[in-house]
Amino acid sequence: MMATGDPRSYLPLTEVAFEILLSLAEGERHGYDIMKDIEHRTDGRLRLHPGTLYRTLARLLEEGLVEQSGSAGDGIEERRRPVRMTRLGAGVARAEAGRLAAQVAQARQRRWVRRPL
Amino acid sequence: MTARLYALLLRAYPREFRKRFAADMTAAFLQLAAERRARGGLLALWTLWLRTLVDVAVNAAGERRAPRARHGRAGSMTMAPHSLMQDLRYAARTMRRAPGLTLAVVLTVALGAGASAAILSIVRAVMLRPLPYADPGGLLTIWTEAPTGSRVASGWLGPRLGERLTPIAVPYLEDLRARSTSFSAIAGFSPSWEVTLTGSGEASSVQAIYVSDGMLDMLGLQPMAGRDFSRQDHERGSARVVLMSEAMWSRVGGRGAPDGRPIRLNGLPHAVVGLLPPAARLPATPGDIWIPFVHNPFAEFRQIPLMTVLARLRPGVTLNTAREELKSVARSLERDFSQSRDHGLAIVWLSDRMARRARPLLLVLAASVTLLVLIAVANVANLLLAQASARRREIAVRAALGAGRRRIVQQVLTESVLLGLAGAAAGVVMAHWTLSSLVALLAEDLPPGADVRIDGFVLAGTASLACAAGIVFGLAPAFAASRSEPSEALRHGVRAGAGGGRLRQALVTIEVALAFVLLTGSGLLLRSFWRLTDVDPGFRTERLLSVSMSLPDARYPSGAARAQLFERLLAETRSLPGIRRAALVNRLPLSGSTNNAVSIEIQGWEPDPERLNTDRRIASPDYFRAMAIPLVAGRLFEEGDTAESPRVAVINREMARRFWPGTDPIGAQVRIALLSGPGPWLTIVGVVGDVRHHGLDAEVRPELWVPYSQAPVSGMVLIAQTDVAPESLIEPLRRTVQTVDPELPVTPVTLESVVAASVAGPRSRTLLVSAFAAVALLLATVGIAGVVAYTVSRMTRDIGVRLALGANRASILQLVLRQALAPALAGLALGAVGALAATRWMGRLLFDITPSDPVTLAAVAAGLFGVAAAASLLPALRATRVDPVSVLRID
Repeated sequence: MMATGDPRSYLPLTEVAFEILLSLAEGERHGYDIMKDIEHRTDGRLRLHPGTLYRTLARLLEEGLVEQSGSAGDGIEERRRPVRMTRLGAGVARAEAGRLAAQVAQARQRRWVRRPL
Repeated sequence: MTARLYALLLRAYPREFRKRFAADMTAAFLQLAAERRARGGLLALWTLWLRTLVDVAVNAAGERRAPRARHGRAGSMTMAPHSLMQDLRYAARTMRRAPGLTLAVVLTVALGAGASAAILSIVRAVMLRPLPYADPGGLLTIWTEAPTGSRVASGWLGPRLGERLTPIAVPYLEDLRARSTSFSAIAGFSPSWEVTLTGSGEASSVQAIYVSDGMLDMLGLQPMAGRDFSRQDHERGSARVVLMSEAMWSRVGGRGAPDGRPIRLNGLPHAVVGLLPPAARLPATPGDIWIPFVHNPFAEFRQIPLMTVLARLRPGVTLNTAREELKSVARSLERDFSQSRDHGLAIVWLSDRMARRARPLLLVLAASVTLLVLIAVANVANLLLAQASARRREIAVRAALGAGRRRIVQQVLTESVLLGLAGAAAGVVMAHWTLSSLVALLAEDLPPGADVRIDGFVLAGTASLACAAGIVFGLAPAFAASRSEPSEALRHGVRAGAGGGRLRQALVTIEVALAFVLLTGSGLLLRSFWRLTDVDPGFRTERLLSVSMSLPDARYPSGAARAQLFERLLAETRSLPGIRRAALVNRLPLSGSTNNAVSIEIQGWEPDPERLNTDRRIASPDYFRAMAIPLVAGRLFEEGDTAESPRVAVINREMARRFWPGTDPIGAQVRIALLSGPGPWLTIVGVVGDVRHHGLDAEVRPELWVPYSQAPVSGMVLIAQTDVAPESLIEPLRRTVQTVDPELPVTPVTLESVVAASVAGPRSRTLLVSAFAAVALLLATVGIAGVVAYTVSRMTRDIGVRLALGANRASILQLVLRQALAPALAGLALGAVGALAATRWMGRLLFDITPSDPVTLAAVAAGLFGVAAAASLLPALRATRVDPVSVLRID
């Protein structure tokens, strides 16, 4: 199921959704890897559990921002399917990044954030 | 296990969602669990489960409520920690605001959680915790499979009466090793063996174990100090050496490493060569001293099943291969040794053998606890439902202020999980206090030395149970709370207990049904126990003392020497004031020692060692009179029956009935097959009454009594019949024995305590299950009373109208009772069916009563109905006092 349209119409993304898309930027991943990657990148601030992760993934799949490869085999190992970002997903992620950057720029003007060194 | 549990949790999701993501979620969860486990151990794993419960509850609830996403939103599905903290704080505040309800819930959960923590600790110790050896799961036991049931019962691992798997005679160990290739190691040990330790203070009786070579290696252990037995130590004629525990070593005055210094066991010097590590506790066989088998007096006999054999499979060999090989080994042994005729060999995992005897009891206890927990959960759900309807306004306010359904469900669930955990904590404390008495109570049914304690596993299990219970009993109120439309709730205010009425009645039905099953189980055990204690043991138990004694061979080498000592002992005992009679017997009835089976020959009969089999007992002349065992025919032993006079014997009624039906056995000639060959011919001179030696619930075996003067063995029990309370003579009797021989360990016990100990198992089972049933009854009563009160409050207006229209109070009482008792009656019907189904497998624990005993079922039904009626009566009476005017004015 592939929704189309303007990436900006999907904004704003939730933190979890955006983090998932960030994790998928480097290619397809399994659920556990996504959880670990997010935990690592946020210094443990955001620790997802499978319930939260897959509920968000379900939305992203539905909206066509990510996709899953087909299943094969019967065992748990074989049945796991990696997730990857669609072109639309990449667009939405970029749009969200732009939105966030604009917000941060505004905050910076008010000297709420220090410039990175 | 982890995967299955998680899969179970995932059932909370809508089917559609599960079909798409369950496999991926499970895989991710398993990896997460493995990582937590590796990094933080059990505690981290347990925290993960706790978080996962909340994670699944919240997300599954959300998924069920709003399966379609709104365009452009990916949902804000993370459980941010600050919101959890918020919920926790809020929950704590709610709990403080309603202390009565909180206390009731926490206590109810604590009862359930405490009982399950205690039982879980026991199940863990007996069935789940690995033995403290290297690769304990790989340990097998090898047994002889006898053609007929065993005639002796021995120890925890050994056979029960009538069981076909028996231990193996010591000489077969070398044959097993030489003729099989499936095993990388085979070694054996004896049951605990009482030996007399002298030379360090007062003589004492200590437990030793005879072991074969290679036993420490088998367990993967090394001596803590000194050395293991050497090959030579196990050879005939070698010096007497022992290994002992550190505790025993310091008890005999040892310091540091053993120096080969001698200790005296049974009067003989033994050199201590090494110290056993703490883990060297042989399965279900207590013993602080290990002695090589070669020094056991029965080690050379192929007909004495003495040794429990442990083995490990060679790598790559399957159990089935080993089993096949043992079959051919058994056939070759049959060919070579007459004692092995018709005997097979069997292998059983050690862990299975350990758990075997406790299993029926543990199943009953686990079932009782499960029922109790379910009743507790139903009760708490009931309480919380009542509270939920009272809290609708508060929740409506939160919803109006913008809290989503998810937040409200999460909030209510957090509260109930917190209540569950608080209850679990209180329960664990209760379990901790009661565990030692529980273990003492169940001593009869647990393997000796079982290490029962509340460990991380038990804690995690109890806490998980509490969380699961918290979610179960919180779900109904949670959804009830989130379902309501805020505007409506706010507009109408809160009318007492709207909603949830049918659910609460269903909960009462369930509670009553569960209580019915539990009460039936306890009723059956109780009636069975009464029947058991009504059994006539065949002897007097009042005013009798007994002292077990074992004379060391080293100091009493001949029968004459032993007889002389015992004669002196009898004379000294009789001279004590307050003692009426003194006598000797080789085994006390009902004391658990049953190793007396012998084959006999009867003159003029075809030899038939299988059928002509009796228990041999040895007694002095006064024994039958002291124990009030009646003389049925002929005469008892007399002082004239001496070592020099013609050999005589007395038989019991059962033996006369079995071997001489309809004829007179007096004058018949029998002889006993001794290890050394057939004994001398004995003339039967009398018949005495039957005694239940093997247990009040065991059949009476044929018994052949011989006079002590003609069979002066070394191990005898002194029986003293007293004119006063026997307890008062324990100390004088002990001193008397010590003056005759200060090196004999003496502990006089009353016969009453021996009989009481013989029914300790059934008594403790009955007591425990009855305690559970009593708590269940209490909870069910509270549940019924609560729901009836609630029903009455809902009917108040209705009642007011009826009263205003002229209905009389009696008809109102009837109306309320009928309404109130309907769910209880449904519960009774359901419970009766459940009880019939559930108690069917209790047969093995019952004596002389069937699981479907109609008396028990009727009594339970009547009792529960009475309780339900009583619990309903008070609120119902209150209903009849409703003032119609005031009720109607409110509207």
